[in-house]
Amino acid sequence: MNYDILVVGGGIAGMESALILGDMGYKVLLVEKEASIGGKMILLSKVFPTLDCASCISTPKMAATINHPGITVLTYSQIREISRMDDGRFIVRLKKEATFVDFAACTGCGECELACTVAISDPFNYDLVASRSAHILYPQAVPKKAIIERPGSSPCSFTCPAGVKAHGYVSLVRSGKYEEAFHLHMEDAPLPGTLARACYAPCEDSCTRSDLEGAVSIRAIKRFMVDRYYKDHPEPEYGPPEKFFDKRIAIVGSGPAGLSAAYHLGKRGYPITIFEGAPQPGGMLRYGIPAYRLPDDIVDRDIKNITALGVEIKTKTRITSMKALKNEGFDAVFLAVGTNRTWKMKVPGEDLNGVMECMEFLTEANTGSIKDLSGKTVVVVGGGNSAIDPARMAVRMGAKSVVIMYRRSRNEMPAHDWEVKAALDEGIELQVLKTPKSFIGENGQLSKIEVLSMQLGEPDESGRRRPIPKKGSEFTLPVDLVILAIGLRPCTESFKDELEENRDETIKVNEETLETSMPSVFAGGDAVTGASMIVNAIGQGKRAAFYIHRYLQGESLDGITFDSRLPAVDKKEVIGRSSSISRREPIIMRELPPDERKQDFKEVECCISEEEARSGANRCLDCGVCSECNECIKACPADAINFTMRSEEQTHEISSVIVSTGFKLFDAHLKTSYGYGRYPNVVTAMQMDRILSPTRPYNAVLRPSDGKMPDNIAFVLCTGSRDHTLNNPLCSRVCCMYSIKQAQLTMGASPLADITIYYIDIRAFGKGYEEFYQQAKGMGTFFVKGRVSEIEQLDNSNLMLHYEDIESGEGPQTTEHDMVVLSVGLLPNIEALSLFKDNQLEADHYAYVKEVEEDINPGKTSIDGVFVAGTASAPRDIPDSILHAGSAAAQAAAYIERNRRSA
Amino acid sequence: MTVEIKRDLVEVMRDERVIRDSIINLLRNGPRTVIEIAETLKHPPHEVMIWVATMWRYGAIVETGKPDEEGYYKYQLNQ
Repeated sequence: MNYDILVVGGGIAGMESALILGDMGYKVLLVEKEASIGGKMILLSKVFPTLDCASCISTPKMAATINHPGITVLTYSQIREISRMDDGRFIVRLKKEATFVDFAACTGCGECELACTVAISDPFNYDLVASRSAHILYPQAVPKKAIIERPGSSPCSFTCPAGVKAHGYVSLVRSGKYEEAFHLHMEDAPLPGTLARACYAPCEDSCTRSDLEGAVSIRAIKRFMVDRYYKDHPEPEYGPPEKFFDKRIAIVGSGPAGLSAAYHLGKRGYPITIFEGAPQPGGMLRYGIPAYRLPDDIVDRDIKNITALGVEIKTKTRITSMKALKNEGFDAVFLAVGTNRTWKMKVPGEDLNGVMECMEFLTEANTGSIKDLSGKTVVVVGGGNSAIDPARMAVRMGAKSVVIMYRRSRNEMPAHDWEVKAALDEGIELQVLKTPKSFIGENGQLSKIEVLSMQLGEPDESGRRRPIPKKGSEFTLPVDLVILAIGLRPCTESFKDELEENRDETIKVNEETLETSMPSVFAGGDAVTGASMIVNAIGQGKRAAFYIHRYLQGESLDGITFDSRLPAVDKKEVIGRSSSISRREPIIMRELPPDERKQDFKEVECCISEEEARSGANRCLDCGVCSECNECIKACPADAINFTMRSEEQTHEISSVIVSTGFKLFDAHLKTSYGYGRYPNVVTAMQMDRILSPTRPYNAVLRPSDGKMPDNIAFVLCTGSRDHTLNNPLCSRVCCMYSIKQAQLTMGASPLADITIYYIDIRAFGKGYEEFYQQAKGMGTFFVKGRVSEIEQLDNSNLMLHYEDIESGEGPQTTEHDMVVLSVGLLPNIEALSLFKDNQLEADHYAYVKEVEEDINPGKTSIDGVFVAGTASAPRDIPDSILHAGSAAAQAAAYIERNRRSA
Repeated sequence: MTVEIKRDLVEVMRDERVIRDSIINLLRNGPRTVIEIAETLKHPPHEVMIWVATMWRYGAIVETGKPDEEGYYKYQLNQ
């Protein structure tokens, strides 16, 4: 789109230039990086010397600007670059940041802010008070619309294969909203009880705290939230949908993938039938995971979350043909048969009685077919997590001796270290660098293993060091039972004539849509990915549900993205947001002592307490800022929250540019001798203006250390200005007068307060300024000529100022105050200098935008057609900024007209 | 009581999500000043000031009348 003028920055100067040019009939594009126009003026309490309300003056300008038919305002937008073309016009590329709020719908009611669970520092109030991730910038914001600060996904939520919003439920638990946390989890995954116990928690691996003293204990927090909810709600709170589609769906397998797909499709209103070959539903959850990790009653309660939707589960029904299912009238099938067989070792004696597959053993043990291993010697072969479970089961079944035999060293074991440790704690022996060479039996019954010792060679394709047999190292080991746990194999044999499979017998699918080679048949879970995590299978079921729904509704599956999460934020950036992060130890889930837990199948892990859950959740660093807890969505009466919104790049042609990017304030931390950032009662002038404002952060003029009304306040002028030691020799022009203004306002709020202004010299150069100064004196403000050298804090949080009183000639002095305001200087905003591509916007000696003909052409810069307005070119007070903005507007209009005439 | 800012303010502000319940419980027993809340909950008063200000901002608490002789307001739950 074409505009006559681009105004960069929506402060008082930018608004003034835009309004003048708009009134002249030019098409103006005003770009402001904050979520509201108004700049710094709107943050002020009052203006000097009239003491008019800053908001009262500013807001009509803001409203006029946004409502002007000739002005297009883009807030929350950043200029990428501006290029000057040969014809004297410009191309501007900008990025309109996503606000995640539909401005057309938002009424500015602020309900989202009240509901938001993430506290952030409030830049509008200069860190005196907290704001929320969902917020309206300030009460007079124009446009008065909420925005949600959401720079990216939190790593925990981004990592979860099922898309569970870990940050969201952690944030809700932190806020004491436990049921809301449970319901948020249920939006993405229906088996929270299972995941709270048996998930390997990739979210914790990616937690930013894991780079510090340890990850947030996300799974433990989930366990607390789920156990509490299930205790209060033994049955789901919902029932089947009111209406069902007339399309039937068959799901083969009732493991996590099948249950997840059934849940998500059931919620959409499809009639679902799950076919399960085993006597009870749950697949791997019930038969593959021992009860000491995942009790049956939790599996049962989790499954109720699915059956409550009217999903039918037909157990003891083994499906062997997809075609047969389709012939029964099912419109779509989801195949999720999992991996419940084990790969063979291909060593002699593998078929002996007494050599079992891992899943066969776990199933028989879990169903009670095998009950007692008293006096037996059991060897589990393998080094993964699937080897740990049967070994620990065997211990509980009374085995005399249990050995895990692994062909590499412990360092190479794929099992989680904590799983291995738990096994060792229970007395399981680990024999590494050993592998069975053959199984030896008598009368078909296993009696011994011929064991071969190994040594490690060079790394193989997996990156782990390859095990190499040691010649002549064979020995025999008496054994009663061998459990092979060397890798799980998909149960896809029945379908190999109907569906295309991969070499490892997994089903070949479109990785995005999970469609198989047979139309209307989808597949997912371990049968597709190979043995994986439960949460992965749940994610596959959710993905399949998304595409099956589209398929059944006749919608295209091409070019659609199921997973539209924002990229994860950079962890280093998250850590860099804070000046320091306190060490807070992770919450550890207690376990039953090894001797006690070995006795039976009682759950080993114990739930954390409410206090532990909340304090553990409060370790969260809010990496993505917004936690996606969705409370704002629920609270918004206008349905305006839109998390699918994305940033937008725009390109426009412009005839002329006005740079009105304003100024920066001196960072008072740099004046270390004044104690800002260490002493709570040392504040900056902008903080004081906020405290004095009608929209103040406190209920009155209070000091930040303890909420006391201050009665003896000092103002220290020239903090960070006229100071060569801080590389800013310039006078900021406004500090004297705004300090006098604040002194008068403070005396109005606290008539008995003593006010002292420490100054080098008072510069009251404008109309009415000298009178304003004299008025302050007349009101009783003390003026001390002398620079403050140091500020110390006393035991009562008061502050001792060290200074030299030049006029009295009494040399170094000290005076006690209960609050100190640092009148910080103005600094150039150097961001303006990098706006232009190819052309350099020149800076003056102090790094402000240079006015190349300041005396005769105010506002003209080093780039033809680019003009500067307001404090982007020098420190100015508000009237001067407005005058300067008028000049820049006139210059820009003249430039456009000259170009039009010469074109 | 001498106070010095030792913790990052963003971290202090995050804590409000948890501490607010303790403050609410305390104020159920009657209005308190920032200093009194800080002493009971054993947190630095300048941190309590941020939490109280945030709760006041969002309407959870209100000040009671005028400040006491020493210049401290008491805060109570917003009914």
